[in-house]
Amino acid sequence: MGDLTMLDFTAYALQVLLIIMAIAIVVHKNNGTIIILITTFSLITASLYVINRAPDVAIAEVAIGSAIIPLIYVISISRQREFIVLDKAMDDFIISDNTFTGRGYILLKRFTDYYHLELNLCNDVRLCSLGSGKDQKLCEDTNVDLIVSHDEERGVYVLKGKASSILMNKLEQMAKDYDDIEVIKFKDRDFGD
Amino acid sequence: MAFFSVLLIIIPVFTALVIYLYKHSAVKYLTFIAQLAMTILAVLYYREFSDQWASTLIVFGDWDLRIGISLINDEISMSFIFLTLFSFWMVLIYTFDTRQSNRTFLFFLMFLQGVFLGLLQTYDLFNMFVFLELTTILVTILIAFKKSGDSFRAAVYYILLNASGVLVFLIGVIIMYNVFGTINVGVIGEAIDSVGEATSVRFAYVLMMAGIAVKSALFPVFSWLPKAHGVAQSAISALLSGLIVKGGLYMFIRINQMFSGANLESGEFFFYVGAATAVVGVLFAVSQKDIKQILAYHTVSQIGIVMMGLSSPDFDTFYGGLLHIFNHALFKSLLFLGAGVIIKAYRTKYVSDMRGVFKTMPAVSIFMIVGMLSITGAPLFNGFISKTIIKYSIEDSTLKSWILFGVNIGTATSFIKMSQIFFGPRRMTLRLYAPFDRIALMGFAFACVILGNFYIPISDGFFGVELSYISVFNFDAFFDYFVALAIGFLIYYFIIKKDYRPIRMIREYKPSFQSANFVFIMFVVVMSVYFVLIP
Amino acid sequence: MILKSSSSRIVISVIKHIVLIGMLGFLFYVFFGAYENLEALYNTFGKDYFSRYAEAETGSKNLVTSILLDYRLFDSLFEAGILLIAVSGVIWISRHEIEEKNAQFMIDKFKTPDLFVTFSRLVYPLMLAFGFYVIINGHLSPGGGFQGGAIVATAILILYYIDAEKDTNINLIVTVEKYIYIAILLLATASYFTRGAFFTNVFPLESSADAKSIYLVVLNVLIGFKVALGLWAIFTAFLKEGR
Repeated sequence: MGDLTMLDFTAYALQVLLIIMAIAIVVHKNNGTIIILITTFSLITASLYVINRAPDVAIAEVAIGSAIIPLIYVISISRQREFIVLDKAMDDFIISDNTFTGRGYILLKRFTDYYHLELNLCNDVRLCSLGSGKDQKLCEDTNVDLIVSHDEERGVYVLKGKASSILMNKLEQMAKDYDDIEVIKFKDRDFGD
Repeated sequence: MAFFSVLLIIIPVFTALVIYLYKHSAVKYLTFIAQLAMTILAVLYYREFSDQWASTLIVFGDWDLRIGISLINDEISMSFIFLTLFSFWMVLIYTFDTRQSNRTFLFFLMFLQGVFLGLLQTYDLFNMFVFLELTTILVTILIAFKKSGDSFRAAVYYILLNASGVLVFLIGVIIMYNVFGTINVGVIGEAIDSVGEATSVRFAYVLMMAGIAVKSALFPVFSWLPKAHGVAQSAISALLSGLIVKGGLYMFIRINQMFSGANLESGEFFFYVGAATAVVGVLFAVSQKDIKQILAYHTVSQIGIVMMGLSSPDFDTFYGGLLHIFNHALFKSLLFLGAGVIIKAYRTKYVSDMRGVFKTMPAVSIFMIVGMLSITGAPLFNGFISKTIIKYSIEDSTLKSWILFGVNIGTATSFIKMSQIFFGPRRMTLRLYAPFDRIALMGFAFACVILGNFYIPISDGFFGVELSYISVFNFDAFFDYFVALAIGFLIYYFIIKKDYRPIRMIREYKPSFQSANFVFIMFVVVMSVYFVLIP
Repeated sequence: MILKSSSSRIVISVIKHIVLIGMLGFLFYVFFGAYENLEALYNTFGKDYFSRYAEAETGSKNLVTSILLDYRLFDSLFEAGILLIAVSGVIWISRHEIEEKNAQFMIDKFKTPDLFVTFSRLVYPLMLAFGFYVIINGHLSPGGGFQGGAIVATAILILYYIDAEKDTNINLIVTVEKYIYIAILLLATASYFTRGAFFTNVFPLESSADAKSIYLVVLNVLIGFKVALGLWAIFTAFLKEGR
């Protein structure tokens, strides 16, 4: 142990820290925490590269691992946290008197709170005017997760979404309590080659 | 002339870029022109160098052999090159659509061809890693090309598992570089006699083989293959099952050749890995209902048979395995492309819903029957030749012969089940506009029949291997085949058709990604115990 | 499947974890054994060759750049190709048929604080200049095309902090990136005509270090731009997806 210089000691300490970070990344559940841990992991490896006299690799690791990767992760995770609902009903199911007190809104809020998602309502005129036959295509092609519409003949509110999303099962369960709310799930159309 | 090998890599890459950039619709004909140019170059190259393979060595930059990257060719790589060119010809014809051009699809396809041809010719370990990585990424994108939920899941599963495998391969390469100071395959092969006993060299072998096992879908790390090949587009499944997975087997051959001086005694170990792959593959295949999943699991099992041949140090057995690689590529692509046509017409992918194919699409049915006869090993078709070679070479050991026999029976059972689609009344089907897909099927079917009958001159001329001890027209061959078919039929009728609970459980068994990783680590540990600790 | 009771499930999970840690520990032990053995076998041929001859033969003081851009240029071409394919794949997967998905959101809370905007405006030109410095001086100091390209890409991404609604034309970026890749391929193959060997420096072996460094700078600049455009395209695809 005599010739263990300060640099060697730092290298060993950083390597042990690296293992601890790796285990921490695997154990944590919160996505935000994991992103920060990944960034720190990348910075520690960059320092190890410098200690091992490979500055080229260190520059690349810092630029990509600590700047670009966290940005991309943050964007994709923040998108995932949104649950986008297209409101075609245009009546007081969701909004009454310009505030969010409609029954539909309460149901959707309970649903998104259960999954820690952010409810994002939109009523884009162009998308709303598309006929109800196009609903499945709308769900598939855009990032709309749920379409709320009002079936005049039967007097029920129809919530349509993709069957491949596991969240829809929970919504279906929650909507059973309401007589006039119906949940329809689109099956993935995939018999093409 | 030696630089033709570089052209074989550069031409498809260039073509891919040009196709992407020029928006004119006539650009899709460029693929055929490029393909024709490459075929001509390959033939000229073969004729020039067919008795002096050592002079095909090119070192880029004219640097010292131990410093620069080199390319080399020999009979094995040339046969793979011809197989690649043929497969891509057929896939391009199959997907050719005169009304529109899917430029992005052709871009990825041609780039894949260039990269794969590079993988076949390279003589440098890190270059192999780069090409393996590039193949992985391209295949992921092609699997996810349909953009459906299942395709994305399969593509993510594929890339995660394969990227870890390739990473483990890289660690092996790093250890080799530290030990030998160079990563040229030829130089290492010569220098390995002196250090073959060292722990680091053996551990590097274990790591490299683990990576290659993932790419070749060997037991126990094959779980990505049924998912990926079952949900991709049929043309892509044909290419993957027929060609890309054989890239992993090609690397197995090369790395084994490199380590041949180290006396690793890997033959028995990989034989049993192959046997396990074959048995597990066929067991899963028999229980499936989706036609593409059946074919995908059969790919796993046929790769097991190939491995039973390739692993042996005896050249004749090795040649049987090698020949089965080509045979399997031909008949499996044929089956996948045919399945694609049937799925598009019938709008379902379950075998039990498809009936009356023979009356509805007679040409496709005949080609599919050719494929089915080939895969079950009927005489007069190419599967028979390679399976017989392997059968002869392991006939000394009763255990091995019984394993092979069992796998053959399983294959027969499964294809008897699939042949039910031919019976029944004609159906009204949607005739989609795909004018050339029959031509692609015909190409593969012809190749199967030709290889099944003219195997003696082909093997002699190309590889110099004497195969006259295998005769197609004797009574034993046909008798054995019909016995296997009969037993297969009995098993199908009494067991599979009833869909007993165990079969349903096998079908619904879906290993999680966590268990796939666990099994991968266990595989590396078992190999290190066998190769590093015990000797 | 047979439902296991929750206590036996816990036991199985604990056993799995113990086995996993055991296996990883075993691998570590084997690796360590291989490493000890390695010190005796270590072959320094590569290291010696590069430290002795690389600067004279390739005209670059930075050994890593000399290996990347001269000895093993073939590898670097396909590494750049990996990035190209990854970008094209991401663009393809995120492309939707409905062109403008700007569904108006009723609740849109995204607004960068003014402090970040000001700071980014200050940092952006510095980062860009540093990135260009790293690219152009790749053959003299640590750096090079790949590293500098990543830094330039990071600088461009800061622009998105300043103005999140920025409208970017992804198709233009990707097209230019492919043209640059074709230029790299052509430059790499050009050495066949001037020197008789593929994929190496365009200038012959005997020319001065200055002449060779022209080639290195040009190649570094091309690779740097390509990498920056590629990373920018990936980032824009992620940003646009879902807006």
